[in-house]
Amino acid sequence: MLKISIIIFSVALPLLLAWRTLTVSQKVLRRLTLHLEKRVQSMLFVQLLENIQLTTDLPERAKLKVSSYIIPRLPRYLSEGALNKEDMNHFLSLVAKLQIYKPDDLHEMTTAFIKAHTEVRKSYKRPDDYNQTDEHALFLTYYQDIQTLWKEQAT
Amino acid sequence: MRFFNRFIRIPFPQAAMNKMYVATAFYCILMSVLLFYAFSLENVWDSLLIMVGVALWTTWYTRKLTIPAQFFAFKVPIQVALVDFTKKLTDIDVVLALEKKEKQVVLLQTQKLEAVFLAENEAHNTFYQLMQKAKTLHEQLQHVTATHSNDTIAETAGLLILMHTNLLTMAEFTERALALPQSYPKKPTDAHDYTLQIIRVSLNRIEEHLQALPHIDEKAWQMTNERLRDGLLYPQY
Repeated sequence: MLKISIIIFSVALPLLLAWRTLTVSQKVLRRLTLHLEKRVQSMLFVQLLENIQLTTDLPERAKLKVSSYIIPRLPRYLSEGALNKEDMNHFLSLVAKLQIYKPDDLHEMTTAFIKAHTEVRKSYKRPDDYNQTDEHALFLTYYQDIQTLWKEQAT
Repeated sequence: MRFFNRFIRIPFPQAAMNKMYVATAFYCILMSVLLFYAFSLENVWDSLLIMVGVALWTTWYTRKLTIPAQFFAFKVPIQVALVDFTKKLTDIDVVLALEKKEKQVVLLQTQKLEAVFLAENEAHNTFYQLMQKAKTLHEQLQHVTATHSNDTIAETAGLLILMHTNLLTMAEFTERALALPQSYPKKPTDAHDYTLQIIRVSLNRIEEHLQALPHIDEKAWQMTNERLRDGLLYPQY
């Protein structure tokens, strides 16, 4: 009886341990493969996006990115009535023209706007915290600045 | 708008487990024999010595199979699947290898994968095609704005830059979001197709205007500008 239980014990213990270890190593390898998939996928997407960038010059690209900071916020300002449709069109056309004629001045102005806007956004923790008054005031100031810059450029 | 419609899936590398299976079989047989021998010995100290040896070897074995930095080195061929939202498109042969120092696996010989991925996108990714077209139009417009001093054309060039950069920024954001562990690509909807259609129309208009260039139809350019502005103000992403 003792002999049989010893045999069973000495066979079952290594088998159990080996089975558990193999399961764990399979899990580890699966996780490594998943991470690899994400990494390779990301690398492929980045290469794809690299092909369609307007410039290969990185500082230039950063400047372009800054200039489009305001774009995703415009629909919201428009629907909240910060500016009416005509003024919004006027604003966009001015920004577009300045983007060609005076990119450096526009970049400076937009950087200042982004800085101020980041200050306002710092207090946003929940959707309710959205500060419409401050946002609109900032945007209108930016619009004023753009108009001034355009007048300077036109003369 | 959804920016990507081709993805890769890396299958579980079953061949990488082979060495582990061999090690496991070896371990099981030898341990059983050793344990049995230890129990059948008369001398307690000898049995204890064998037990200590068994414990040490078991530790080594478990560490070898569960810690990536100590895995058996492997370099196995696998087939990466290129998929879209519904089905598998092709399989591409690459080599999967273990990078012990980095504690991760890497893909080797990925040139073919990159080439196939790029070709697939050039053929089937509308966003990619349109943005490439926008890029060439941007170069032409830069040239035109340098030679003609026309406010309307300058506005078109500026709006094109704004639209392109805005979309690219969002695509980069999507790329980063997809790199997070628990995120999966979503299928585009009709609204996305509609947005792409609007972009396509405005780009085609710009192309037509550029082809008729010595003659500048001010009104047509203005209408194109109007369309571009609407695309920026009423987006359906």
